Amino acid sequence: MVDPLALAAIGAGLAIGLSGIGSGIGVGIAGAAGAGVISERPEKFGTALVFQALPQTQAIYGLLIGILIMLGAGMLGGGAKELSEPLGWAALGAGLATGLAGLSAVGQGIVTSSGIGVTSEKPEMFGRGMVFSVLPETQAIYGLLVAILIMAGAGLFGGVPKEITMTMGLAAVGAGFSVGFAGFSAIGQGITAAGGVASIARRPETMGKNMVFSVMSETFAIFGLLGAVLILLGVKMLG
Amino acid sequence: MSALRAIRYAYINAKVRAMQSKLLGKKKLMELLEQTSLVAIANMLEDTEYSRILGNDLIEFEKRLRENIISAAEKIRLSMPSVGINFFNNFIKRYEIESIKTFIRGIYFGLRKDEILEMIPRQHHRFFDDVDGIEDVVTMFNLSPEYEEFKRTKNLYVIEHSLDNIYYKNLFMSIPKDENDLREILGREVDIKNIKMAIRYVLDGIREGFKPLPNGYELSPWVFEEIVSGGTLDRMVTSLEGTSYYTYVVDAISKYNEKRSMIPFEIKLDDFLYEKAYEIIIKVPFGLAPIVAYMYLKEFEVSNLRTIVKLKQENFSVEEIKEHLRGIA
Repeated sequence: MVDPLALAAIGAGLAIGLSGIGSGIGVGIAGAAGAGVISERPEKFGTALVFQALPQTQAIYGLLIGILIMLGAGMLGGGAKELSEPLGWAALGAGLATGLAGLSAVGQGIVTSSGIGVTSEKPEMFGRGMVFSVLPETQAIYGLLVAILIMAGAGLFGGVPKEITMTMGLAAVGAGFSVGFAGFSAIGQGITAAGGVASIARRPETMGKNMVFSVMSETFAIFGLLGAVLILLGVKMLG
Repeated sequence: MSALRAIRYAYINAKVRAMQSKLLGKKKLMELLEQTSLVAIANMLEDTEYSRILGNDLIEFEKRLRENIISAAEKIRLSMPSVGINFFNNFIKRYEIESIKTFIRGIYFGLRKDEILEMIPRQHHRFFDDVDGIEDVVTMFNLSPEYEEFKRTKNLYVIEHSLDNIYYKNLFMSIPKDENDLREILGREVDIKNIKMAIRYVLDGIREGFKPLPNGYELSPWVFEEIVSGGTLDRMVTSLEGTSYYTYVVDAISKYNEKRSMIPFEIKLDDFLYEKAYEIIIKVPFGLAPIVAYMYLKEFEVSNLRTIVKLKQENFSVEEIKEHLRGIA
């Protein structure tokens, strides 16, 4: 028997910590590019800052889910709730989903750094650069979505937690791994999209084709999301 | 491209892109071309990186242009991540080699050291503190056999070629792993230098003794042997058939037939390198290749500026000057 509160605490920690690592690296890459640009063109500070803000969202999602897990487990506001062990595992699964998918910020950092460089040269590319830069965000959103589904299925959004079986609890961990690891596809997507941004700066007419290349990596993230949803449906945590 | 490369090069590649945004571009060059006086050109350059470098002295102008390139390269060098610094240090030695060539040419034509130094970028003056003649350069680069040949033939090319040889050998040895685009663009530069030199041999009727520079990308040394021993432009074209350079050389031949000058070949082949550099900038967001591509574009820009000013002074027409510009087609 593992202490369910400890499992929920680890889940909250993973959600905040892993997504923090992702965002830290992503924002760092984008920040380095921003520093490079403003060393030559100080007037581009604002644009660089907007791009740099994008990979921060993963950490915000992580923090959000982390706090929700802590609230659901009664760790905030005094007096922890009586959680069953399966609920503890479900909270861990929710944390894994958001935390691992939060590492997508690394990919987003790569594409935003390319966007920062390109818009310093061609300011009119801001919008298109933004479109490519938000692509690796989807993996983080999938992670957030699965975390919400797990928590809703387990009744961890406040109120009285549901009675779930051990199978359901461990299935939630599996769902978290599914969407979380598939979220790493954002790194590949970031690399492709960075090339796409560089390319459209010179040949704007290739936007569609470059978008197709960049979206390819999304397939694996969708597989991960699908896997997570099917796992949760399979153990009747949804619906 | 790996994520690690993006992390390493994010700063410098973004900085270089911002530097790229300060390049004049074709539109501005065309506007400069339309100006009727050097004063008007100087005024147009006021809001660019080349402000206040154009006076009445063309030699001083050329020197300042070279100083401008060296400053740009130095700016990049100072921000280069450790993984690329060894390569880039070797890359920018090309400007030092250019200064050394200016020096030995000056000595060869009987100029005094102080007169030659006036033509050499100030960043390189220190290099010549202990260099007073061709012998010192020969000792420094260990070129004794080449010097003996030079003394026998009085052909400076022997020494200049050896300097290039040393430069490219060191440069290619310092290319970091997985920089295939970089290897390609540098190899193409070598190919183009070799083709130009082989064409010179053909036009001058020299049939042997051609030693191509090492590390070409597409052309093997035997292609040049074939070109030079063939001895005619038609044979040269046949030897290049099926390579990327073929159409460019064929395009240049019709202009050569009109003007009987080497320049159309140089321009067309430089156009090819310009396009390749542009292509690298489009397809490679991170790494050393787009940085080298930027340096090529900068070199072409400086060469174009020099051409515009020089040919304006010599009263060439706009159309004639346009034919002498690189990367404009």
